[in-house]
Amino acid sequence: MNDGTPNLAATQDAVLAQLQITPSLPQPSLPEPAAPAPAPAPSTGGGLGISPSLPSAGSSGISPSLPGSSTPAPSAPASPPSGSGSNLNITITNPDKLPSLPAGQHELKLVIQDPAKQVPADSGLGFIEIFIAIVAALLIAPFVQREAGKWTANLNALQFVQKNGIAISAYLLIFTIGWIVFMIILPQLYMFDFSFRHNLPPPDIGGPADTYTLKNYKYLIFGRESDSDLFNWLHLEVFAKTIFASVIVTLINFALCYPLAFFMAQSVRGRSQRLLFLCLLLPFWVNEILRAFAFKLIFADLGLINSFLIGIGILDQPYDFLSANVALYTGLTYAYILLMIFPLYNAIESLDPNQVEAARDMGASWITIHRRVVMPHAKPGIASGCTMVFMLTAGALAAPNILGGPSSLWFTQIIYQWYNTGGNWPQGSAYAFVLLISCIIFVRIMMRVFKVGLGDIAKR
Amino acid sequence: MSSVELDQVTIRFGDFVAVDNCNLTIESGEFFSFLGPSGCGKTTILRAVSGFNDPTEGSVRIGAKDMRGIGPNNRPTALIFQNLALFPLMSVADNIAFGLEVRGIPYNERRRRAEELLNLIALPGQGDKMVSELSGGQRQRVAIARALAVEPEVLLLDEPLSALDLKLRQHMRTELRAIQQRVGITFIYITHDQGEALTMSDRIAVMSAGIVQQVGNGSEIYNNPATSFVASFVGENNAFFGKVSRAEGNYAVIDTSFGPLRGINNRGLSEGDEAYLFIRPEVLRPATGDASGDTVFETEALKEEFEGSFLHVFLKSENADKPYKMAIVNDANVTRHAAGTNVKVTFDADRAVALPVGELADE
Repeated sequence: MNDGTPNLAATQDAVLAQLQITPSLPQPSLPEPAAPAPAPAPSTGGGLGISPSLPSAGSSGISPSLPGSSTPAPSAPASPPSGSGSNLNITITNPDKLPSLPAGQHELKLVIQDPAKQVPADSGLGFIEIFIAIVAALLIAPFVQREAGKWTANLNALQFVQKNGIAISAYLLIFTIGWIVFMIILPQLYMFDFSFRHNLPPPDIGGPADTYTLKNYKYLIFGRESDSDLFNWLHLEVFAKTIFASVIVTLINFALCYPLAFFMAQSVRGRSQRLLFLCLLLPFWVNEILRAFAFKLIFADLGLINSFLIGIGILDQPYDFLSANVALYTGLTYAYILLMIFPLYNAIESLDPNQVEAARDMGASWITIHRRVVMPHAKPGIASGCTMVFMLTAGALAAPNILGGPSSLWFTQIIYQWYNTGGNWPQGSAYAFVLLISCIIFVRIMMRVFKVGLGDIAKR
Repeated sequence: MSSVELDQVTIRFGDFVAVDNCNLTIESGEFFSFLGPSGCGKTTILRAVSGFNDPTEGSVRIGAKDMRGIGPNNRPTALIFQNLALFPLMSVADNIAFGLEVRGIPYNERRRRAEELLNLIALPGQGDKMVSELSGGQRQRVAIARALAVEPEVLLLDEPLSALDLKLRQHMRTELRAIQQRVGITFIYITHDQGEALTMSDRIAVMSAGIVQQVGNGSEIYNNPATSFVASFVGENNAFFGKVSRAEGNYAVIDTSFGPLRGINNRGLSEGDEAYLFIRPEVLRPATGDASGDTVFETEALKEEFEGSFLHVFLKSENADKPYKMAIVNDANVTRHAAGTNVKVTFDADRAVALPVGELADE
C-alpha cells in the first residue's frame, strides 16, 4: 500500500481463480485515487474469499467493488452475475501497471470456483469458515444468554453432570466427541468416500466426470479390462498371503507370549517382575525403522546368524533368510510382541492362583490346567492381544518394506504404491478399505468361533 | 484310607522357620485339626501334606509311603481352599467332576458320580447351575464334593468356613463332621477358630510360631494345657505370675502378687521356678464367709458385664491391661459386685493349672 492505492488479493485458499478482463462501459465520475474499499462481506456466490488488505497482488492499482454486497462501493456500475462464479467490478486506476490494456476503464471479472468443489486435501479451515462461525456465534449469543439459566438447570439435572461438574463434563464430552468425530469418523469417512471416486486431475474434480464408481474395488478383483486374465491374480494373491501370514505371525506371537505372560503374572513377584517388564519395554524405545534394519543386519548373508552357522559348520554358504522371509516374520513378530504380552498378562494376572493349585491338586496335568482353567479365564485377553497383533501385522508397512524378500509383497506395500508412486488416492483408499474390512470380518468370525464378545475385549 | 505321618518335618523359607521339627501321626479316618493363630505354620504343614511344598527336612508319609518328590496331582489327597477356588467358568457338575475329567473318565460316568455327590451334599439336581448362582454355604458344599469326587484318602481343609457368617458356620460344622463320618476318610482341618476345632475334631494340634505345642483331644487341650500358650490361646484364662514356693505331690503353690495360690502341677515345676497359674473365669467364684488359704485371694471389682447365662466380673489384676475375669452362673442367688468394692475370690485347686513361664497368646 505504499502508493496509497488499495490492493486486491484473493485469499490463499481460493486456488482457482480466472481473471477475465473485458472492456467496460465508460464511467463518468470515478474518484481518483479510489478510497480504500471496506472489508467485503461473504459473497452470495458461496465461499468467496477476498481480503483487501493482504499485500500479495503487488501494487496493480485496482479497486474492487462487490455487487450484491450491502457495503457502499465507490464505483457505481455492477455487471450482472454470470455463470457459477461471483462477479467483481474492478476499476483500473493505474493502466501502466497493466501494459497489455489501453488506458481507460475496464471491467475485470473474477470467476472464483466454489472451494467446496475443490481438491479436498487442500481445504483447511479458511477465513470464511471462521468468519461464518464468529457471525453465527454472535447471532446465537443472545439466545444462549437468555436460555443459559434454564440450560444450566437442565444440565445439572443430568447425573453425568452432577457427578463431574459442568466444566469437566463439558471437557469430557467435547474431547471425546471431538476425538471420535474429527480424529476417527471424519477422516475415515473421507477416505471411504474417496475410494468410490475416479482418479481425476484437479480441474475435473467437482466437474461432470466426478461421479461415484465401484471401479477401484473392481480393479482389485478383476484388474484392467484389457488384461487377459479374468482375475487380478497378482493383487489377490498378495492380499491372501498378507492375511495368511498375519495369522501365522499372530499364532507365533501368541505361542511365544503366553508362557512368558503366565510366568510374569503367576510366578514372579516384586523386583524380578519389574525387571522383566523393563526388559520387555526398553527395547521398544528404539524406533521401528532402526529395529527393522538391525534385524536385516542380523539376518543378512554376512550377518550374525549366517556367520555363526557357517562358523560352527552347519552351513557351507550363507542361507538367504531375507528371501525366505524369515527376517520378515521375525521382525513382524517382534514388532507387536508387547501388544500380545500385556493383554495376556492382565488377563492371567487376575486369575486366582488357588484355581491353578486346585486344578493341580485334583490331578490335572499342566496342559489340562491351561486348557481348562487358565485359558478360559484369559480368553478375553487372548482375543484382545491376538486381534491387535493381527490387525497391526496385516497393516504393517515398515517391516515388510525393509525386511521383505525381493519377491514378496505385503498388501500394504501395494496400497502405499497406489498412494505414493501411483498417485491414485481413490484406488489406494479402496485397497485400504478392503484390507480393513476383511480384517474386521475375519476377527469377528474368529471371535464368534471362540465365543468372545466385543465387550470382553474392552474389559482387558 | 491312610494315616499321615509327619516325621521331624522342618520347613524353612529362606531364614524364616515356618514349621520347626514337627512330629505327628494322624490316624486313618481321624478328624484332626491344626489350631493356631495366623502365621503359626499350620497352612504350611497342610501344603506340605498336599504336596505344594516339600519339607526342608524330615519327611511326610501318607499310608507309610514317603511323599517326597510326588506332586500334588499324584498324591492321594484333596485340598479344600480357604476361598474354595471353585472354577467360576464351569457348571457345578463340571466343577465336581473336574478331578474325574482329568483322569479320563467318560462323560456319562462323570455325570453320574457328580449327581451322587450332589445328593451327598444335599444339592440334588443343581449340577447345571453356575457356581455364581449358589449361596455361600452351597458353594462350600460343592467344594467338598469336588474334593471328595477324586476319592482321596486324606481330605485337607484350609479354614474353609472362615468366609461364612456365624450361623452358617455353626451349621457347616455339624455338616462337615457328618460328612466325615459318612465317608470315613482322614480329615485334616486347619483353623484359627477354637470353637470349630473343639466341636469337630477327634484330636487337635495347637501350634504357635511353627512349633506344635500340644496334641490331644478337645478336653485335654482345654482342661490340661501343656504350655502357657495353649492355656492362654484355647478358651479364656486368667494368668497369675509368680515363683513356685512349694511343690508337693500333684500340686504347686505359687507366690503371686495376691498371695500364695495353689494349682495342679503336671509339668514338673519345682521350688524357685517362675510360673504361671492359670485359672479359667468359670473356675473363679466369690468366696463365702471368712474363707482363707491358698485357694482364696482378694482383689477389687472393676466392672460387671451381664451376659445372660453368666455374669462377668472384671477384677483388678497384676497387669492393668488385662483384668481377671470371673464368670458367675446367673442363678437365683447371684451376688452383684459394684465397681470399686473389694471382692474375695476362691477357686478349686484341682482346676487351676500351674505351668512354666512361656509365651502367652495375644487376645
